[in-house]
Amino acid sequence: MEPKTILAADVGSTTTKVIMLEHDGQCYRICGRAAAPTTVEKPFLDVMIGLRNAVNRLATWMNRPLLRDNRLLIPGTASEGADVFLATSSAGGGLQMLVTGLVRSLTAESAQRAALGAGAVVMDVLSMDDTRLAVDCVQKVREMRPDMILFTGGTDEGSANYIAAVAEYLAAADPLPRFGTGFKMPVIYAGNIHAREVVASVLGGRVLLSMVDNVRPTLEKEVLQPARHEIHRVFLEHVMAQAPGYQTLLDWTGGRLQPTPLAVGKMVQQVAAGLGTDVVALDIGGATTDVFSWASGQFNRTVSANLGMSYSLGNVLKEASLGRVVSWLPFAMSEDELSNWYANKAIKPTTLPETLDELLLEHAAAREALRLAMDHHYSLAVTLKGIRQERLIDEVFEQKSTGQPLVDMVQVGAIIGSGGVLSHAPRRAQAALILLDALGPMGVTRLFVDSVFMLPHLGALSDLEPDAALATLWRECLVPLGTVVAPVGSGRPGHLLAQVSVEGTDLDLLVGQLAVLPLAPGQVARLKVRPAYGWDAGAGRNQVLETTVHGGEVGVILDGRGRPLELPVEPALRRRSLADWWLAMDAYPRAALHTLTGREVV
Amino acid sequence: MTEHLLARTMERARVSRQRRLPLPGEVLVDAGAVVQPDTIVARTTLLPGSPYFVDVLHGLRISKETAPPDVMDRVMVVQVGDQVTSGDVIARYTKGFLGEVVVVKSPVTGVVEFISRVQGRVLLREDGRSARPLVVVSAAKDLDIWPRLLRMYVHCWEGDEIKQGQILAASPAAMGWDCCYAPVGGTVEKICTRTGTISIVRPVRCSEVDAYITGEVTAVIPGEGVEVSGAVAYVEGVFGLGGESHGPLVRCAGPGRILEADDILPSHEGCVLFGGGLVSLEAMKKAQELKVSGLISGGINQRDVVRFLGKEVAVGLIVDEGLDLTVVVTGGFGPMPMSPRAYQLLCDFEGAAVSVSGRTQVRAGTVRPEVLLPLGERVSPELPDADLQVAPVRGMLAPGTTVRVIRRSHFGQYGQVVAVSSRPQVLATEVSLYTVDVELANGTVITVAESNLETVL
Repeated sequence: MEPKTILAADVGSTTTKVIMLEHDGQCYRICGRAAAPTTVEKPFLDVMIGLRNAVNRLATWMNRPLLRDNRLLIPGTASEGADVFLATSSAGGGLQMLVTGLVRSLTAESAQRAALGAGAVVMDVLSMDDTRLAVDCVQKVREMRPDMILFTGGTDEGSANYIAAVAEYLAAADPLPRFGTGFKMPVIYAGNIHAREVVASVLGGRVLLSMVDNVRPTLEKEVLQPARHEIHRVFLEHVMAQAPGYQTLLDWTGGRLQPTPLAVGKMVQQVAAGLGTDVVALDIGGATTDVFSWASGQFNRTVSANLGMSYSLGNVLKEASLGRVVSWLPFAMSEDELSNWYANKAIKPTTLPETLDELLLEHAAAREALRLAMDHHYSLAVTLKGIRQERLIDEVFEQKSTGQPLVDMVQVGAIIGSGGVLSHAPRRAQAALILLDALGPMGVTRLFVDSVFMLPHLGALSDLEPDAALATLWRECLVPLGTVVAPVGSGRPGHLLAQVSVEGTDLDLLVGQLAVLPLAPGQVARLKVRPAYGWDAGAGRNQVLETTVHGGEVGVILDGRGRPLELPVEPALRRRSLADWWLAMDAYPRAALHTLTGREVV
Repeated sequence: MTEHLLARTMERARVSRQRRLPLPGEVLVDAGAVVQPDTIVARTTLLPGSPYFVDVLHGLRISKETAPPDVMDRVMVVQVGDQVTSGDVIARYTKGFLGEVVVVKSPVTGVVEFISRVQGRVLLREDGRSARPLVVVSAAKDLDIWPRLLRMYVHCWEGDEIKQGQILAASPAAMGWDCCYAPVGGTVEKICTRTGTISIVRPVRCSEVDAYITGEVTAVIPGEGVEVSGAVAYVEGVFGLGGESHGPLVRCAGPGRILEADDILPSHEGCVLFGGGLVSLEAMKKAQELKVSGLISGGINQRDVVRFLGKEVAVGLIVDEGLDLTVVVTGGFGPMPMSPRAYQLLCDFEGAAVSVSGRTQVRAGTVRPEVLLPLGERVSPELPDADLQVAPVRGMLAPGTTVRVIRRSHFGQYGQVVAVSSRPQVLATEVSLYTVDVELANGTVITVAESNLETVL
């Protein structure tokens, strides 16, 4: 029988969020949510303080008792408590792992993908082809204090000698786990199965060793699921059990605690399965940005640990350069003023924009943070490297190397944005624009935003009630922004790019133009795009595209700016172009934008 | 209602600071001892990078490829946990038909931590107390070359910083190259073509920990350090540069104006200077040049931080511990008048020996810069603990509350709450937020989102 009420919590690095879901006969609906600061760090050192604070606030807001004597009222009744409690956690920096492999671009990269897919932050990658001195690697491992180590290396038919060498590095380093004193470091061995004995003989007794199938049994094959399952098991049984207050949290959840990114990843895969297309999802937080993709039949996740909208703003400016961030602003501002503004946002992360220029400053940084995070994803979510390739005679002139990005924006049918800057953007068109500018979708792509960062809660729920989680995902969580049609190519601004017709409405799309055709959420329309010579609207170069497009809060967006998107170099022209695009999308208050850009109000 | 983190300025408080050595050493004070900021409380010999790998098989000239699996068990004369002295034989091998005995000696004094049977290496943990400051490597002998030709084979030069394991010299051999590796890290002092040796000076230095604050030793951690507690007035900063420092407190400028280079005089050497709504780049450079201990100001330009450090700074991290000037910023980035209360407190302590720390970490495990002003009295449990993080306060904003604006365009300005909105207001960004009317010091009344205010108690 389906539980009537579900209380779900997400313990983040800074905020613990709780949400109450109530079944209305068809799916779960949000009937209340609250948040409180996370208390996993000193001086509190108990995650339960923050969680109880959040639950108490929710109880007050809903006028429904949820705690009694600091204990959760489970199972609940019609007027108090909840039937089920679920939780996800990324507090204290989330699950932090060290991964090792023999060759950085082969087994170590597979190990990295396994760890990232399991929701971990990869602190470092050690391999035999590491350029650092052995003693530096040992010292590094000693200083790092990860939660666990994923030890991979070699194919199943390879030599065990080098694996033993890596095992000896780990043994020499004698690593200590982050939480708990007197506990052994959990090490998951997922390498050459014929080296298990030697690994056990070198590491056995020093660490808490478990063994699973090789992540790379052959060069041509990658098997990540067994390692990911084991990471999750060790996370629950050993890592979280040592973290301050987590034993109580585990008791509350009945063991249903999982890393936040793992839960989000599950839902991304559900979306991809539901839509039958490749999907990219981005979650931009204050400190980190996660990118999830389901592409070419594979799930991948990367975490950019230093790209975010508050604590990590300094790093966004450092990596992207101030100049690139400024290029997204429709007004001039001195370098000192800009850098001071961003630095103040980093040290006072809870502040909110009050004026349009402040909002635009945040959106400019968000574009660059997302772009950098996506670049990071492209570099890690790649086809297997080092594999043997068969080529036909007609392919010899276009030889592609191994390790190509799995995500092809032309094939991506849906993009999901999550995180405060996207979910809480005052107008949905702003979120759509940020996603368009940062990711540059190509062809026909649907855009969504997560309404209130519910994906982790639903990911946790999907283990218990998969159908209800999916129904809730579409009805409560994902807000459709619409469909973007972005032909690929380049041309002279103002020239005809394509003739577009949507349900009887005809439009000439010009190069450099951004246009919106209203189409409400839930509505579909037939779209026909006849591209100009040299352009590809998604059906192939110069080919007419006929497809069905879905409506959303914004509508059907026709993006004639070309790909890759390049902003005009001349500042005045660039600012004018930005203002034109934003006015076409009705993304920002018209009068305020005119004032800010010094244009006359039309 | 949103939450307001308090900007902390405390007239009377108690602080406790653990003063620990990076490596085990000697504690120089007893519990109950009264200490000053510059009192040395613990001392040790610091040896960075103290684990050492010794390539035993290479030293014994045994090929790893052809060596039997149990070769390490046969050649090792020490075991894990054994104490070794520099020069002790740790491995021995009788070679060939003539029975030539080849040995590998320990380059350092310490403990055998690990024996690698696959790679044929031994990991030693050096004992810092017996470290030799100069290590001489017989490179010509190792490479079997004429000492006078050593310079033809070296891969390093006098003055070069080298790491342990780095190739010092190499010569062609029948099957590739014979290499002479650095047994320790350090600086190449001399390449002697008469003796065929390379001398390496190691960065052995004495590490001392001072008391940092005026107070008394409340606990001794044997071999590691002490805990010092003191009664202080406490000013918390929002951003800082450099590590800990101390010195007499000197006023240089009023709370609102720019702290310029001209305000800093040669007589300020060793002092902690305060004042100004902004510290200029030139002032920081001059302070560093004149060996000023610390600068306390209201604001700083982010680009000046980059120019001063010579690198971009990601604010989420502790910034440059190696800097010899401590900067504490109490307001934020850009021109920020110092809080009147903090400024007055600093004025009250002018001339006192104060302690400052610029360590800043914004992310998890928050560390804020601080100014500690000694009250000159014994620490007592009745004093509130400055380190006890004040929990976020909800809904404390009411007419009359003193607040600080922490969002453009009045960032850093202080005022009093005049009215609090009872329902969310739609702002220029079209976001609905609870707002507060604040009367600034100049009489202007502005409307600010509640989340963009900091309560000042």
